[in-house]
Amino acid sequence: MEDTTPDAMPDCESKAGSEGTSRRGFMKMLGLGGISLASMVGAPIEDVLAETTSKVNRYSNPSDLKITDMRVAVIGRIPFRVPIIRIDTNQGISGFGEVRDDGDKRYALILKSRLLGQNPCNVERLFRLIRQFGNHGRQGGGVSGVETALWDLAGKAYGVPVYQMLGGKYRDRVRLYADTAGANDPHVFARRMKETRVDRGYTALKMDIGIELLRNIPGALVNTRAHAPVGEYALQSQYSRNPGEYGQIEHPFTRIQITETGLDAIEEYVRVMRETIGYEIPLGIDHTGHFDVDEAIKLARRLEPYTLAYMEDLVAWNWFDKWKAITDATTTPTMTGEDIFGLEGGFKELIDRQAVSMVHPDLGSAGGILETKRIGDYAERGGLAMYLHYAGSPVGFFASVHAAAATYNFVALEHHSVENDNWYSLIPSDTVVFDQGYVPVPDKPGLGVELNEDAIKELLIEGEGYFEPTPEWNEAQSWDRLWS
Amino acid sequence: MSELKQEAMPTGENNAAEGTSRRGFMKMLGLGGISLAGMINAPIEDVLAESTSKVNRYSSPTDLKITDMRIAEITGVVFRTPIVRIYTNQGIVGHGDVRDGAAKEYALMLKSRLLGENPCNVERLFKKIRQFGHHARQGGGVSGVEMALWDLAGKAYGVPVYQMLGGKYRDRVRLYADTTTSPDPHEFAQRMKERVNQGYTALKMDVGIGLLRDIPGTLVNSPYRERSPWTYEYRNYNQTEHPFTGVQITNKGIDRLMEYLDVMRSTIGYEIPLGVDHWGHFGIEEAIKIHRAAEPYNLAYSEDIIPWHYVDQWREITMSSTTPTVTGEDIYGLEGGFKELIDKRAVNIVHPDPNTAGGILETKRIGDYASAHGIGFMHHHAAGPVSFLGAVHSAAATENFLWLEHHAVDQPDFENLVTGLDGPLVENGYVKVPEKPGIGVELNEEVVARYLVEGEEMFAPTPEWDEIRAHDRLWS
Repeated sequence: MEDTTPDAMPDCESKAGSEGTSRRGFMKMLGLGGISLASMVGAPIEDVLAETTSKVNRYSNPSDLKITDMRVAVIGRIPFRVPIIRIDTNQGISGFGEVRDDGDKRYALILKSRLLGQNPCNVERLFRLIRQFGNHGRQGGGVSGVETALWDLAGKAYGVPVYQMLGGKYRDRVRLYADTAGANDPHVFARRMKETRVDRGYTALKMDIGIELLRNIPGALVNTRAHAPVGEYALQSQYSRNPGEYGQIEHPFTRIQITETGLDAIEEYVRVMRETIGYEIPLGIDHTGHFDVDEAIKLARRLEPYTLAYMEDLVAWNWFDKWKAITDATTTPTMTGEDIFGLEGGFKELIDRQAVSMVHPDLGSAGGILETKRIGDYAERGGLAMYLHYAGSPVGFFASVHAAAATYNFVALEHHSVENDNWYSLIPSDTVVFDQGYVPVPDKPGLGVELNEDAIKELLIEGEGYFEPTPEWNEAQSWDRLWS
Repeated sequence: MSELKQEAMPTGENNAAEGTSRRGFMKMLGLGGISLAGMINAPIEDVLAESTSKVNRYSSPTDLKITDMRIAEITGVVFRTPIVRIYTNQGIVGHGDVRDGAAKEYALMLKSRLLGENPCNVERLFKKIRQFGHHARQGGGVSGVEMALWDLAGKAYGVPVYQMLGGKYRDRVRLYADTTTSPDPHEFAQRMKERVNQGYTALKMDVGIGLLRDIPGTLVNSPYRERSPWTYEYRNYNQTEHPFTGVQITNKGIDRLMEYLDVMRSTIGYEIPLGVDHWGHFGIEEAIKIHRAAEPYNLAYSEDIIPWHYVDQWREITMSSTTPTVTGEDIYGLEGGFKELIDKRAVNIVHPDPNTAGGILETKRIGDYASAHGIGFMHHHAAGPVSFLGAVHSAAATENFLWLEHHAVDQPDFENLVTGLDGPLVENGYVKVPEKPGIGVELNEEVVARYLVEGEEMFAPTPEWDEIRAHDRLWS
């Protein structure tokens, strides 16, 4: 026990013993706190210390902890919009989570009535209670964010970092991968990736190379005109939200094809990138565009010499057979998953069929911390590695760090806000997010990250308040059981 | 707390001088970085929080290291069970049971792989040692060590184990009990009625063909006849697996076995779930005959009527009658063990013993997998109170859990082997889920000493297990 004292008390100061007032005050407090030192005179110092702290050994009293409220602050510019949710309790501690980037706060609020009065420490039981209200894509963000907040609370209630409640950790630092720093010119693109990513210490990278880069190259693509504004030849954005536009048409139905000229142009980006950053660093590709299996295979085969770490989301994740066809047709590894909710009904089939080379859940869609670990564990048994997608706030980021630390086959976690000062303003300036390509796993209770109240207020979306009351979500009016 | 602490430091010494403890305490506060000067007008909660903020852990988890593993092997109060204790560099120890009837070496074999490791990384260490476990008693080493690691992780952080499994589904865990068999069905039923009167809400009875040994015309190829069919074999009936005994049961034999069920149900009624175990060794046709005959008695399950690894035969038995089936106490692990049984829906309920199955987390994994396939989940247990309560944590944290076996109902000293219980171990057929750190109990060494196996010492040093010389990787 002696060994532990210096570690458990890192910030040694010596004031209490020298101040008469405070000593008397402290002894009085001890009396008020139900602590009787009179009976302990003569006991070993360890026992005295143990007795005096036994009543306050927890951050909270976990077995009597109850959820009393759920509130939301929707922030933006980090760079995406993220609803941060706060679950309050009867003991003054709160847990934080977030509805996934670009998700709707109501995906979380719909769960409030099911959670009021519950003990947040029973995370798995509550997850099963609310799981039915989650779905793929952003709709998974409510259940995932709430689950994250429950873990935060359980950890705070017991004074334990979340990873320890997942079976302990496999690693003390979690590897990060940085997302794209794109440009239309291959050389500018590569130089940016080198200067803003590699030179800063990132050890894994991803670049976005879509067929939109080919829109001005004659003869590069087939059948784009049907997906352009009338009278134009340019391709619409793949992020378009308008029904019927290219961005909303699933891959097999655009019938867009890539010509040899187009393949050459894409290859040029990758060739220059590899020439600039070298081959040691795993390099993935994402956002290639919407086209069917044959184009995906052509592209994946063409890029084989550049030894990509993976090609991501080449077709929508739910086309398992198409994924299997692509994966079997090329030595370029494949990966998908950021939109999938849950293991059962989601990742399981993808893994069972060996349809991809790696899985890529986003904790904010997948169902939260434990479900993400379950997905990783299942993939491990299927011989597949796990990358983690991430594009939200520091809350979900550190939730991902805990899940990553506790999962055997984890490879790297996305950091989508490398240069976003707003993102960093949300957490204390001494929080280590990046140290030579890795993030240290927090050892503090719960998620181990505190949010900066002023920064949240600064970044609030117009018309949104700061964790304002939500009494309209207190009651449920539906018989929600999935079976009879 | 003081009690727990005392237990956690079994070889600890009192260093503080008599009469100086108050001064010493204030000095500790000073060393502990507690500054009260600035908090005179603060609320009491804040003062207390501040004054204890640096001593909030039982230990310093990130620097925790395993330093030793030792054994105390007991018998009498339970079946012979080696208790494993894992020591650390911070004075806290963790406990688990190598399974009842198992060899202590199954745990000691793992010692060299664990020295210097942080016990809080339970899953990582489990994966490291999993290859050294096997079905039945050989699973006891890995399982007992895994429990001890959870006990340590919980103590290091001051958290009950169930909370490290995702929290609990229930505050009390339901037990099932059995009793001694009597050849007289009425006497047998009266003994069982005693269990009901004690408050047990789920029961199991042993009814086997051994009860037919002296009744002519009940068995074909009887192992009990004067000149046994095994006279010239290299193995006896007990060591012969069920499909290979050639034993058959006549209608008269079936009738006699059913009489035990009939009298039992007449005596205890139908509200209480009632299982049957230890039928004997015979092939699946005999099993099906029994299960069909037993249907009117609405058994909760029929257990281990053939060996667990004949998965397809289990499926055939299960499909052939409405009597539910259960097996699992000898199975190690989900993968390579329970998985196929569950995938094929070969039984209605799975029945792991956490001391063979791989410990607390693996048992929960088995339950979760069964749950996803619509299969029930109950726990076998016949070792000491430490692993009994370890099983309680696993049961509390698994949704489809039904009931846990309590095999030491008639042994008052069973619960005296440990300290830290909050009241009697069993109340009205349930056991309260411990809320104290780790598994929630410490060993009462005085009582443990009374039940040590002859020739065994209490946690004697084991330096001969400190090193291993093998390249143990299951793949290349």
